[in-house]
Amino acid sequence: MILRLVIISFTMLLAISPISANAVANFIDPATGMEFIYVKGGCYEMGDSTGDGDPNERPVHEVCVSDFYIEKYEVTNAQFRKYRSGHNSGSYEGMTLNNDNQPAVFVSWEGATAYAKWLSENTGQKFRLPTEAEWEYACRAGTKSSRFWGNNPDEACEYANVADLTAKKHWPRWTTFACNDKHAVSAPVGSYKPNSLGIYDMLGNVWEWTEDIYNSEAYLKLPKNNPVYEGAGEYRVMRGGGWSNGPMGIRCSHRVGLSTDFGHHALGFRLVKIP
Amino acid sequence: MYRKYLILILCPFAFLLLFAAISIGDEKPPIEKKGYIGADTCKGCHEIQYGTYSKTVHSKKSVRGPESQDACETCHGPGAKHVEKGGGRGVDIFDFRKNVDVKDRSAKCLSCHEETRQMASWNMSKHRMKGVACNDCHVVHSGGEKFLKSEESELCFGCHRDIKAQTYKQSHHPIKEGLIKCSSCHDVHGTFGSKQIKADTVNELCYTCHADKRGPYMWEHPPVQENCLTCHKAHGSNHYKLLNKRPPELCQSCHDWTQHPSSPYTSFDIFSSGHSNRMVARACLNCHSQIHGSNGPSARGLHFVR
Repeated sequence: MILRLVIISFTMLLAISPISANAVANFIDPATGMEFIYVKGGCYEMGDSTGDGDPNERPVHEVCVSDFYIEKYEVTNAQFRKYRSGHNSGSYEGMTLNNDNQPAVFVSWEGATAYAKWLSENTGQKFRLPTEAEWEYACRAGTKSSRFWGNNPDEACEYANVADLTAKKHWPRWTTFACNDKHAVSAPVGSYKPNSLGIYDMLGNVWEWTEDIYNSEAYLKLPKNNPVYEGAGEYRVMRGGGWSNGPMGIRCSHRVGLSTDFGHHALGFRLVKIP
Repeated sequence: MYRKYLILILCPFAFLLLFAAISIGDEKPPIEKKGYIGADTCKGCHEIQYGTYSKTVHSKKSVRGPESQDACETCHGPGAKHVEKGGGRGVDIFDFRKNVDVKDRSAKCLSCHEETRQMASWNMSKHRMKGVACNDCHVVHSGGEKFLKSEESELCFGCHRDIKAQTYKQSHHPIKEGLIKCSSCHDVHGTFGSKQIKADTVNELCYTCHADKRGPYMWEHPPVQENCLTCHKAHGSNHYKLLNKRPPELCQSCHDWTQHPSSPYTSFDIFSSGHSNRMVARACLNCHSQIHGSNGPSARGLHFVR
């Protein structure tokens, strides 16, 4: 009787859980070695859930996304060089960003989408950049706080490579977190704790391009199911914050629009795979 | 004796102390640099803009405005929050986009340039009143001539398309040929004269190049003294010499067409009298060649014939 109750309770818990992963096996691309985490679709409150964000993150609204796979790590230099062999992520004030296991940076939105297209053609799978809704769903991993580890910014250095006290030594005028993640610039991917879906570096390390065209009022215009803004606009959205950003930039709902040909030292990407 | 030497030795030290005290007293309090991040951080993302900017006069240390901090932030304001949030156009940084208030955009430039001679009449300039901001024409990140966004006349023609059309007429001031510019005659930052011309009157402006038309003449042609634009177009015309109309119609705008050879002839007159030869060479200026004024003697001068 007790065993039955336990089983029923466990089943109910699974059923009411807003987000669940690993119900389906994860995917590893044999050509590049890229690992993808299966994310079961669902609905969540998208936007500035805690009221500490910018106007472009409001209104908070319910959004539903279908199942998808998302890369466990950001695309690394080694992975990107399989597509563009001469790619050089360069360095920042003498500190390299170009090691194989560091995330690929100085990749424009056009470069990132071209990489997804190349990978799709070579594997027969369907890869693309995540939509904003998918990205935030994967970042939140069922949480409603500003960051997937909670609202406390001081815990950042356990989960993310951010502008921290190490960075402060090099650039004293930066606004930083009051913790030490031991990396001044980008860290090798997966250096910090993942979120509850098992995805690494969803916040920090490098910004990540998404599929959506940037519109500051997109949340007033989009449908509830699988929204993606494709209206007029010259910018695409990047999410997640990077190693050079302080607390205001390291939040799951934070969104920034940038020109599609723009690339910089803390801007990379990760892909999603469509089941 | 020793006292005398002591005074001689101590005097220079006393002067040094006095100067030091004066200089300390004059020192201005340092500007509070709250929220400023420094140009080195800006150029991490905005390398191209910084690269072009650093070659311009604005980047020189000697050029410092009242809000001066570090290079970029002199105009764009403190950038710490912008960096913290990862950038993005207009995110916690002053941006010079079209949708930013014109006054705010111009105010950034005017904080240094307002009291210059060129900007003395800006407040009554038509451009300002029509909502033109400094950065609609100038871009400080480029070091081109006067920091203009493009070649001067093309820049002006971007708005003044009717004037551009006139400069393509067969008789025109040589603007498209590059011999004169819009700014040869107009001061875009405002003047006391109408049409923002660089002189008190139209005639004074024309005389700067066409000095031979100024006179003085014994026999003056009143409209010439009054306003060149009575007979001429400023930018271009389909009639030669930039005339408003073709003579004799132009002359007959004032002169009675029923008198003298300027009288038109009916078909009857043409074929029935000896006056038909007056149907040719009637363009007034064939005889009245000194139409702007004459110093010729007697009636010939009076009638601008010589």
